Amino acid sequence: MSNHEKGVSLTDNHSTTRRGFFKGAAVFLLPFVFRRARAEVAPRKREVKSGTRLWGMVIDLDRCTACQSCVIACSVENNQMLGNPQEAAMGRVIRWIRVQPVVKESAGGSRQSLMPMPCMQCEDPPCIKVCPTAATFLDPEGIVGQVYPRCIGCRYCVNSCPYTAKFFNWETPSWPKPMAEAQNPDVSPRYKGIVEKCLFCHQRLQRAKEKAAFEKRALAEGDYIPACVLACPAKAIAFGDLNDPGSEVSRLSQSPRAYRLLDELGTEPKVSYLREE
Amino acid sequence: MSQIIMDASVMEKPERSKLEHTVLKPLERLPTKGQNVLLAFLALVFLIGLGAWARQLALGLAVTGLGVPVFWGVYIVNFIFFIGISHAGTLLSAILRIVKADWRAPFTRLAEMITITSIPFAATCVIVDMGRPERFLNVILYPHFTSPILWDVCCITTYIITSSLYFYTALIPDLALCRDRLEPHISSWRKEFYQLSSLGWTGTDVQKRVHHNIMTILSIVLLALVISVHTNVGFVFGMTIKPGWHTAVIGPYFVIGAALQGLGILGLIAIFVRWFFRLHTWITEKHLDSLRQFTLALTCFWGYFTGVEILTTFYGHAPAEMQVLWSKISGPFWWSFWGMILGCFVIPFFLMAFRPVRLSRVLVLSGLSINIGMWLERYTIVVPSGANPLAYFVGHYFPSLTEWAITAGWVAGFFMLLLLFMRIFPVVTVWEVEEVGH
Amino acid sequence: MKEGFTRRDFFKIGALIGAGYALPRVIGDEICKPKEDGLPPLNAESFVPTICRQCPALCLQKIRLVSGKPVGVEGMPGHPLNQGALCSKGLAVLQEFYHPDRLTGPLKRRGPRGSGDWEKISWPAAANLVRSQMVSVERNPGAFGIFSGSFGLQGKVMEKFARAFGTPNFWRPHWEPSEPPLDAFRNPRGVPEKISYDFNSADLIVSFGWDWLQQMDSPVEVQRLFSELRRGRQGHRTRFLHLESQLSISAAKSDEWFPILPGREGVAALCVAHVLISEGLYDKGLSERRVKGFDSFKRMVLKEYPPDRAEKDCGMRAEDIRRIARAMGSVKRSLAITWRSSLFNQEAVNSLNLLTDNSDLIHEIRDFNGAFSLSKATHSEKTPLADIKKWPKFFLNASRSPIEVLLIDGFNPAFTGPDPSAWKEALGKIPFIASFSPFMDETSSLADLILPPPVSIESWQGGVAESLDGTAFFNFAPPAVQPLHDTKDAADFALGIARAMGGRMASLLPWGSFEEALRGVAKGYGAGKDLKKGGWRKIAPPVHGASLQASLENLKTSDGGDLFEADKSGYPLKLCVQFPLCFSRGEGAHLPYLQSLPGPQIGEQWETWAAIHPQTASRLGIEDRQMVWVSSSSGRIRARARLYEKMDTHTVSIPFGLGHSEMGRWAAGVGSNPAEIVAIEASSGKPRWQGQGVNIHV
Repeated sequence: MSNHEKGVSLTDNHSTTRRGFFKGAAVFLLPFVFRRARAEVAPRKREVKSGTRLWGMVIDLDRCTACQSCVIACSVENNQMLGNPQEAAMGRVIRWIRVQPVVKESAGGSRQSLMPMPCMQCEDPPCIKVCPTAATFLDPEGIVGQVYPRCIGCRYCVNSCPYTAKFFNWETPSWPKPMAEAQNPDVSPRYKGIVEKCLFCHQRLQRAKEKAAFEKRALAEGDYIPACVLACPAKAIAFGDLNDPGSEVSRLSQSPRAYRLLDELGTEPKVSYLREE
Repeated sequence: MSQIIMDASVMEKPERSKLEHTVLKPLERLPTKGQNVLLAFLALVFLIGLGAWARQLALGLAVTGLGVPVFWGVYIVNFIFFIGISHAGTLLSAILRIVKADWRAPFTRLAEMITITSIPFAATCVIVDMGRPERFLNVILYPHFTSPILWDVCCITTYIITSSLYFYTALIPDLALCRDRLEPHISSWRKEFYQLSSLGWTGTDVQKRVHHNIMTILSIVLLALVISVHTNVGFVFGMTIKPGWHTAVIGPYFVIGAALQGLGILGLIAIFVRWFFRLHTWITEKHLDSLRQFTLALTCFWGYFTGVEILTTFYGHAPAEMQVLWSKISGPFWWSFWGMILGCFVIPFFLMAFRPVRLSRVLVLSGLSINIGMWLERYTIVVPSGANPLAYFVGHYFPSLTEWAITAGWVAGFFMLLLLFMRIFPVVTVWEVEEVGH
Repeated sequence: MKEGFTRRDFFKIGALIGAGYALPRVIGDEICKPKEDGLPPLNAESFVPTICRQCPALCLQKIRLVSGKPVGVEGMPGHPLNQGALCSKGLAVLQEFYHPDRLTGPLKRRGPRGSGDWEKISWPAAANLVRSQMVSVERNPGAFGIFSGSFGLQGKVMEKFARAFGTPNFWRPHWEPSEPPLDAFRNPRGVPEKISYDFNSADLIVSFGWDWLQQMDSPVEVQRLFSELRRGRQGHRTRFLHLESQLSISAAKSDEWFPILPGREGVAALCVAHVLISEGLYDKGLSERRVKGFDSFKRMVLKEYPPDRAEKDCGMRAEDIRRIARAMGSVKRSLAITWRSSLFNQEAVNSLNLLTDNSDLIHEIRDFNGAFSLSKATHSEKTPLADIKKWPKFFLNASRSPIEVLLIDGFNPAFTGPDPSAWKEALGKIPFIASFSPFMDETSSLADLILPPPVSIESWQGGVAESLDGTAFFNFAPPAVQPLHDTKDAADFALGIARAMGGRMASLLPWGSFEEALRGVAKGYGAGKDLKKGGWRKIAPPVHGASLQASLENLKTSDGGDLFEADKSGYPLKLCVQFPLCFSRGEGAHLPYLQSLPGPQIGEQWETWAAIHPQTASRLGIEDRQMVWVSSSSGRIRARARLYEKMDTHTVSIPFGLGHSEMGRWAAGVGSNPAEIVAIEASSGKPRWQGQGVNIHV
């Protein structure tokens, strides 16, 4: 449309200014869009400096007996909801680590693997991308965090997690007295309407760091062990720094038996499994 | 673009034209008892919906039928559904205004009204679905730009603003008409309202030219928005790696579905409006037939997209995708899947292609069928994928009473708002019909 | 607009690009990136030892106290039995401690029995009441009886209390699903108390219907054992075969699973024996020379147990029977294991170990708790009135109850049964019952007096625990926390009564408190000084008794199973009761965390499910998740039908542990109790946990 044809007060000058504004905005926005896109969406491997710890877990399914000590240890450590029959019937009882039967078809017939499944702590987590408020984030040491006060409860991250490892509080968990006294003071209790997830017992990492700092030493292997790992009677779970080639997790995650769940999705889980033979 | 010089004499006529009379008369009359009863009924259902929401706010989303792994249910379905309805206005009036299809004229106002009255219900559906609705502003306070939900928030906000402007701009000449031509006995606040809102429109050539330009610009912007809004709603699903959701076709599929649904609801409401306001002279069989053809074309498009989607999934035969597909075709979601195929394609196609009954009935029946079908379509997209996650187990879901109550309340609320709009604003774009008529 | 690119433009664009780079960083880092909050300061964190008393394993635990309140629990690192780990039940101990429905003090019945009408009573008054009841039967001490299911030293004090009073009626309940097939063996005194399998020496382990990873004691050690057998030894990975009516957890962890009709493991074992013999895979020289009754056994097996019989009687393919036999025959060291189910099953399964000459992989374990002496006591060696298995029947048959005063400690037969309704009725005949229970359980609700003891972390603990290989340890720990309620340890209570009774009782039980008794025992093990610190002492290496005998002589040709009889009686399906670890011994449903554990394979929790094969379900018109009745000749229970493909098509599988009418808010009214539909075999007094004929309907 030509402005000359209009009998209105939109002049060429205005038009130029407007064009200039759009040009400016474009120049302004381009690097912005580019940066965000590159930083967040494009598949990449995060740059992890050699000194940084990258916490990971290896679960040996040949050792695991599906006894579920890990489930209770996690519940006790992380103040998980108590549950009741109604919520159980709706599948709403939250357990950050669960034992999931996985049927694997093979030439010799199908085989049921009982897999303890915590959050896989992906290096490229699908849940983080989709959060509209950045309430879930990847911390520098590789743990996928969740900010309860910021979460709006849209459940988008829960839906995008291919492992169904994030959970939503459909109502405020009930803690009758004096059961509430059993809560771990290091872990904030959750409330209605927010999403929660396995944090690799992050509070234990913080306590371990506090302790190491107090003792004026560096964090050593074994200072920080999540509750599920500690409770496992079969010693089926190894935990440690994946960025340290000498650690047990690093070694085990290189095992020919090692595999990661839904590896083909490219989420780069930091939890691996050792298959039964 | 050509100049349109309108006949200035229209504005000078002291008495109302037949069209003006027909359109303005209902605005003058006191509402009938039947209207009031209908309105009261709708208000009651809406209040029940609000009450159910209040209860949900107090008790949390535990009152829904949702759980692990079906995290999204009817609220999200309703959200897409209302967004779909809202596309009636924008699609019809914007596209058809751009391509200057004359048959649009008697429908545009109604279409825009449907848009304006359905968007608030669409937007609130999302808030109803949130675990912490009071934290809605966190989306702006802590924006995370990679989230399709944030894109959606941006798109829909823009869409609300632009379509409100569009509605209003198209309304200005008719508001002036109301100001000038309505009987003096209408209430004083309405007089005041028409006086203020018509922005001193007198129908001068300059005004008309500016008006025309703005309408053209807004039409183009809105057309882009229509596509972006519903594509983005599709992106919310498509951007995840969930089986059944993660498909590139979902964006355009949603756009086509929304357009189809918008036309469906428009046809449905248009027939009632035509009957109620005695608009047979202006909404003619020819107009209705154009609407039918357009809807039929979109039904075919919808069928095409559905076929493409299913064939691609089926041919690829990825186990996780197939699990979702089978749960739709022969699994627990068979009713919504086959209901969708019937409602969105088979029934409307048969009705509109073969016209077994009178045209107005064809439009009513297919409009109903399309809307039910499209609701089921969204259900078929949202729920089965939730129930069949990648992580090795299968879930179940059926909406609870609260969810049904809120759904019913929101639908009633939409119709209620639409009826209220019809009492205040002319249901036909008088200036456009006259313009086209010339 | 001027032509060309001015300096002004350059700066403008430069500033814009700069801002375009900086702003995202500001938004990204300053606004979007969440900040980590520090943890609240820890004041007074400490760790104290205690002992878990959920099972005889007596694992050492480490309780985390913050500001004096227990808020966490771990296994004691370095302890030889649990090695820093715990089972799910041990980890749930805090929920027992903080349970809102714990009894806060002693209760005396006010209304009629079972009416739930109680009044509070003081401990001295309760002691007086019990003492006066005991005095009333002093002339006839046999009219006094004690059930004690308490593990550790507390149970020993109760036993001594009964002996000192002069009654033979002291019963220690057994939990047969957790026990190996003891009845297949004999030592000079009869049936051995404990045996152990030498899993470590076996190359192949065949479990005949024993979901041993869930059922066997002690849970922590069993899980570790499995892990070690699989991956603990370089280049040596033990193989497991599993026969069970469903793919249980043990079956899923095994290399191969063979579906079988529940309760028919003995028949399958003899069919395997047939193949071993007919194909010459057994150890000919040794078996024939050493094993009594081998010839008649051989004739019987060859004649009556061809592998085809398994198809008819066990629902197994003959080919699978041959494969199992060949697998056992092809390795040097194989073990056939099962649990203490019917005598026929026990003996039949164990016959395979005799045939393959691997019976030396089974050892008797010295029962340290049996020889655990508190001081020189004059033990009344008389046997109790009735075997505990036949207890209800005995009492129901008696016109007047021979027991007039009964103490029940840590035992809830009105729930665990078997046949809980018979127990309830039998208990109803006893004039005075006092029950020690921290919760109002089904048995306590029928008592006259309830005496709540403290939970494990609130009281002095000590006891001897044997590892799977027979190594014995004395574990001890002081109270980890102050008692939450007005409670008293059963042993403390008994010692108080003994003192008050005076005479022989006071001289035989001279300790002022349980702590004093424990100190005396601890001194004997050289742990007197460390008692307050808690810990353990190794007291004996494994003892492999050479006295253990197993024979083939007594094996009857059949177990009198009712397979076909049941078909006619309108109960065409077979019940298989599952024993999840979290509810082992039928206990644990009152703790909410344990409620979410029992059905990981079915995907069910907080509900009693009845798992059936999808084919069976479609034949019966039953849908997944539908509530159904499961009925037997003994009664019927409500359960949620769940379809499970990995099971036999004639089987209904139901977990044991739910269906309480008491036990607090998380247990009462949740699920159903399969013990109510399990019949008791008249001859052995054993419940038919496996193979009970049932029907399932809407």
